[in-house]
Amino acid sequence: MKERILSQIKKGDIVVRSKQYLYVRMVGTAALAILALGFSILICNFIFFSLFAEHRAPLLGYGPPGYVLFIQFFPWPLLIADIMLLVFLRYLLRTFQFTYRNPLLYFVIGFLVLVGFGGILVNQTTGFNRRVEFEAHRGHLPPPVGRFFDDAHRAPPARPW
Amino acid sequence: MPDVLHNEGHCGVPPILMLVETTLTDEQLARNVQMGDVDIFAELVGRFEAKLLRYGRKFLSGREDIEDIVQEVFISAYEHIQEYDPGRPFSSWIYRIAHNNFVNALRKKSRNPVRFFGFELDTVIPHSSHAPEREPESVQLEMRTLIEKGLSKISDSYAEILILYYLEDFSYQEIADILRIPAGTVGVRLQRARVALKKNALELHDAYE
Repeated sequence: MKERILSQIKKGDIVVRSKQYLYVRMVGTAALAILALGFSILICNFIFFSLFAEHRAPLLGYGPPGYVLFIQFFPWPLLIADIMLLVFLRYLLRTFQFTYRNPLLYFVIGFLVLVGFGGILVNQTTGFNRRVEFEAHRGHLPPPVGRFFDDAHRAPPARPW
Repeated sequence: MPDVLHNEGHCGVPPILMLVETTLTDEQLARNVQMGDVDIFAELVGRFEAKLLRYGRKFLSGREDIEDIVQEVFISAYEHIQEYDPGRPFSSWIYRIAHNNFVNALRKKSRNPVRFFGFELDTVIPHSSHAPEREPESVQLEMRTLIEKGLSKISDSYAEILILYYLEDFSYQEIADILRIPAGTVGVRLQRARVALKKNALELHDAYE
């Protein structure tokens, strides 16, 4: 087997992948991971916006009728999108030691903390949502974005029961 | 006096250089291959060929094309040699490549019940990563005997971890790097694998009686 492999190498049938390819792949992976994390933070920011824009979070203090309304008004598509980004990020980073040497639960908790904190920061400290809502109502963004803000401002009934 | 520097030895390498090569560690050899020394790769193939064939025969049991798969492992290792970090054990790295190739071969048989949606459930929650000391030699010998007899009846993930620990003598951390799972999961899976193997051995014993 040694001789076969060595002769294939010397004939040029097998070549080493260059270091440049390796660096490009690493930079590409890092860029995709940062993009995925950025999108997750933005999506989480929209989730918080939806919960606090019309005071939906306090619905949880009204017992079972409040829970039902909370579930009804919760932006589930955004949560599903965030979960898909979590899965994508885990797949992207699967070959790195800090990912596979720790249980999946730690990765999920780390992701939730980072994305949750980032989402709150964007929602509470920047005018990002107001600017996006303004552009959406002027028709400068795709229709689903405008619909999201319309749904976010749809108020729950004054007495949930 | 023989010209030891210029006489061609095995694979065109002068004998004195062969002596130098055999004293280098696997990691040093791999580093030299990364720097462009192609002939040195033959030494690495020589060191790992028998081990990977043994690993493959135990893991895949009965497949005639194990030699082809092992050859693919070495080809893949050479192509990706720049990805190898010389600061880490070379054996863990090449066994990782072997694991991927053997798993791909096994997927065609589709008999791995632990896998679920592409990840293993026992990697989700944390387990203690403290690796106990190796059992006494008599216990290890008993395990190796059981492994020789009963691997085909237990799941692939259990079989592989038993092979890596008892036959290939890897540590928990090395196995974790090969299988890309937490070290704590290695301990849990090894424990379950021992139980499964012993249960299988008992069933075989009862069947003969």
